[in-house]
Amino acid sequence: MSDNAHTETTHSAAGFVRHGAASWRDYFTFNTDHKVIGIQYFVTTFTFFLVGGLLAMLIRYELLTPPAEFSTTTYNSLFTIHGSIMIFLWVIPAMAGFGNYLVPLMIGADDMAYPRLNATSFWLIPIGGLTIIAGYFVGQSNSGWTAYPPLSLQPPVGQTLWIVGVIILGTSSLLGAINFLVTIALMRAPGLTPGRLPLFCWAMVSTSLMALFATPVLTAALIMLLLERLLGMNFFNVNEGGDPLMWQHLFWFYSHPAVYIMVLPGMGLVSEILPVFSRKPVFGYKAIAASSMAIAIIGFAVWGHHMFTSGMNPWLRIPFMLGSMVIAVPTGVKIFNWLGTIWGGKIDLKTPMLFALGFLGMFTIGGLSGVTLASVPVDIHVTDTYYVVAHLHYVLFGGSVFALYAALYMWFPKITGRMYNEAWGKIHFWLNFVGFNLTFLPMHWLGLQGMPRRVAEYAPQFQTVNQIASIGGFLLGISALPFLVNALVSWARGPKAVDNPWRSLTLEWQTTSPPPVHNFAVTPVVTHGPYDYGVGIAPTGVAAPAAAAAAPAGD
Amino acid sequence: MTPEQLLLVAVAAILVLTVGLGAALATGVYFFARQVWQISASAATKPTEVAPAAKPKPPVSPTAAAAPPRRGAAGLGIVIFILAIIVAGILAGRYAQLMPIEASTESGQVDVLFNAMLGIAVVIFLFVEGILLYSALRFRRKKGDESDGPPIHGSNRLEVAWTIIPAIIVTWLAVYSYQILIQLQTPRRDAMTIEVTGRQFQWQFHYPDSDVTSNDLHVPLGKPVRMKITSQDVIHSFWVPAFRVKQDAMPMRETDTYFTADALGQYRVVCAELCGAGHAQMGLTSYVIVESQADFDAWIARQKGATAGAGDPVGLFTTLYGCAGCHTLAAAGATGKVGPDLDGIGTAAGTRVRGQSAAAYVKDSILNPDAFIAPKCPGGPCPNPSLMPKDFGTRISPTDLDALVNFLLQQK
Ligand code: HEC
Ligand SMILES: [Cu+2]
Ligand SMILES: [Cu+2]
Repeated sequence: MSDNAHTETTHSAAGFVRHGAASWRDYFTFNTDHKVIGIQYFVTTFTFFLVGGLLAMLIRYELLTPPAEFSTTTYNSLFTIHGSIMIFLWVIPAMAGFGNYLVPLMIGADDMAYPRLNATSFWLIPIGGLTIIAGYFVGQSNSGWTAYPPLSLQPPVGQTLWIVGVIILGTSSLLGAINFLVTIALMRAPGLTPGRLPLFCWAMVSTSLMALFATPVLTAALIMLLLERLLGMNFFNVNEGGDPLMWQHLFWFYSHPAVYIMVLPGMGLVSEILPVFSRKPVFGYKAIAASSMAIAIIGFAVWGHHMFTSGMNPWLRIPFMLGSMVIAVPTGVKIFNWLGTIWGGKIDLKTPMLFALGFLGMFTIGGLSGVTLASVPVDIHVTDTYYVVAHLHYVLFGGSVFALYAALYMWFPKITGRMYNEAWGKIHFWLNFVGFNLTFLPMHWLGLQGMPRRVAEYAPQFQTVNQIASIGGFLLGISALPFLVNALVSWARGPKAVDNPWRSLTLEWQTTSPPPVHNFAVTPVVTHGPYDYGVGIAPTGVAAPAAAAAAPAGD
Repeated sequence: MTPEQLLLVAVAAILVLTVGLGAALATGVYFFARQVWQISASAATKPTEVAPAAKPKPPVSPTAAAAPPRRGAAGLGIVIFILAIIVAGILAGRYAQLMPIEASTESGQVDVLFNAMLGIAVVIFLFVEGILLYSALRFRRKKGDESDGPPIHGSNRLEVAWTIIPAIIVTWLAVYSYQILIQLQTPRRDAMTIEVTGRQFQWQFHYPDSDVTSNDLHVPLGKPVRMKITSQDVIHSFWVPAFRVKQDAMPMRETDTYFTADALGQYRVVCAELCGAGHAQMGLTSYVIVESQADFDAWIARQKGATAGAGDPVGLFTTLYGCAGCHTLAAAGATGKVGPDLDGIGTAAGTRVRGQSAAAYVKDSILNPDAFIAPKCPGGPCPNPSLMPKDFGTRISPTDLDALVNFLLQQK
């Protein structure tokens, strides 16, 4: 493989391009080291997550009482920016962050296939993010993250910036997808056959294929919206031969697959964590990898379930219902295989495992409510209500965010070379778990009973339950603090970690923590599967190295 | 085309689409896999590969490994667990009261379906969470135990089981949902038609037979109703939670939905699609009133006498032009909260624009909202450009306009 591995010089001819990080300043450069880029992703996206979380707390504050506190335009803008940040600036890019950090290490490569493209993908994120957020200040965009025309054609300038920002972020994700596919296809270490590819890498393959096919459609739709706003081209204006329904089709053609783009990598991360902390091979490796592919394909034939009340041909709802129900099957296959993985293992409830099990439990709820939403008669009643808000948060928070937290703890020693504090990790988990359920479980009831989503004011009969959800929301907000403090303090002065504290068999743990600039001193040769626990293969790096001199400095 | 033909076409279209996309994706997967295999093959033949301690792959069958000596007891435990969660599911499906009051024949059908799904969901939920918790408690690593668990890689039998069983369940749910949906969307010939128009930010109901217009929806008990739904501006969504019907109101297009109210009372009409600043208000200000046929007829007769026109400025303000959806005005009983409070506008109007009379200002405010942005809206300064519709000039007749302006000037 070393013939494929190419060595980047520290300073390229372009002058501003750097590779590897010797000091914190290097993290603010156009750096082509996938590990530096990974960390850039984590820090940037987590910062956006905190901003989005603060907005969520303002939303829950507004909903403490039935009448509106803020002006309703401000409120509409709050949830618009909240949703856009959480989706486009936190979950999607944070997953890409893990893809960046982990994929080359997991496959024994020294970097991604296209390091500069990779750095470009990253730097598009802050640019796109700041464009969207600037939109909040110059003229609040307030048509929701779905931006349905004609509403999104009405005045606020922020809407234009929102469109431009999302186009930039979509481009970032598209470039990333190409990079992941090529890297996994071409740069695997000798012996790393497809059957030995870690499941996270398989998940990144399905995710990237989805991003590759779906993102251009969103970009096209956004450009049409932009042209209509700026030049009056009337693509979505019925009076001039356009059609607002077309936006919905194009938007959901991307945005339904996007749901899987957000959750498949999380499933991959969990598939890595469960076997390590159960000391057992993954149950049904092939089934889990294949179900990702099934989801990637069926995921393209279900977008219409967002439009059951939209006025599209009513009969079209039936095939979309069928597709949406069928996609529950591969999802279920994953859940049952994860249960098979932990069953009979030697489970160690460290923080990453707690979050991974939390993912399993919470994502199941989101999956089950998803099936009820697939059923047209039920969906007609609950679409655009708090029931959907509950469902999507069980999938995206209970699913993706729990997986991200699990992964941040799991790979913390790998990334920083230090251990986080276990006790605070557990406190974080429990606060997060209780806060999460307190916030979102009651929302199912609110939606079923008749509370629409995206409202600053609501009927008095919903007050008590909304207050419970708000208290949960504040708790959830506070629960980020122990994580933040734990991460920052441990990063600066936590106890040094051994190279492989979890005694894992996957490749990324068979090098130093953190890894040297080119990842592996010698290109590794893979001789066993990633999860071959229980047959006496000894993981390396589990004891403190005699020579701690292998310090991972930049060159 | 009959609905059945349409359905066939739709299924075919979706199939073609899935197959097309599937083929595209599969091609991607194929080329990807080919790359992967080629490299693996070349890697496998590389002489550099250190002879691995050939992976000892003991042919452990999962059942053998998982079977403790007390297999009978474990089996009994599993049977009891499954029975218990099924009972819990049945109880949940039967007795859980998560849906709101049922006030139409459709609501009963939807609720039966929902409760069936709820029951199934409860069984699966308890199954997954039960196994999860049991494993987390029962299979804990002992302190100091560094050994691994059994090297079980899977079970084809289980894999088939948990693919087939869920597939059967969701297929059944899809068929069941289909049967209910057919009943919901089949046109009813004896239905009475009521037109509803969504606009920023108010519902307007119109009875074509009697040409009555209203902000609340009156319907006779037990009479099938067809709602003809449209919008004047952006997308709204007509939703009556008590009826379980919802249908988006699309600009310049008609959609419809059917219901038969079967319980006297007053229920909320909600707007479920984000439509702008007054979206929440749209769900809090309109009601559907289910009354007996006699009461309904009497109401229609009363409304006919008081048709909004130049002689009835309050009707113009509240019902016909929907000013009440955005403005508060005591004299009209209006409580909108998007635009400025118009109580006292008769006095304030003269002070807004230097050199412009009160009457000219009010008229200009309606016809040309962006000419001057009023200073204070509920919740802060009024946004610029104005949120007020810009097309009143084309919609309001001169006599109605004069009536409205005079009416507003009287609000001192
Ligand atoms: C979609 C919401 C909306 C509707 C419907 C609406 N308005 Fe307005 N109106 C506003 C807003 C927002 C303003 C403040 C901005 C401006 O000056 O245009 C306003 C301003 C006004 C003003 C100036 C108030 C002042 O304090 O200076 C008048 C008068 C007025 N509207 C009358 C009407 C009348 C009459 C109708 C019905 C024919 C109507 N509006 C319908 C939103 C609305
Ligand atoms: Cu509306
Ligand atoms: Cu609305």
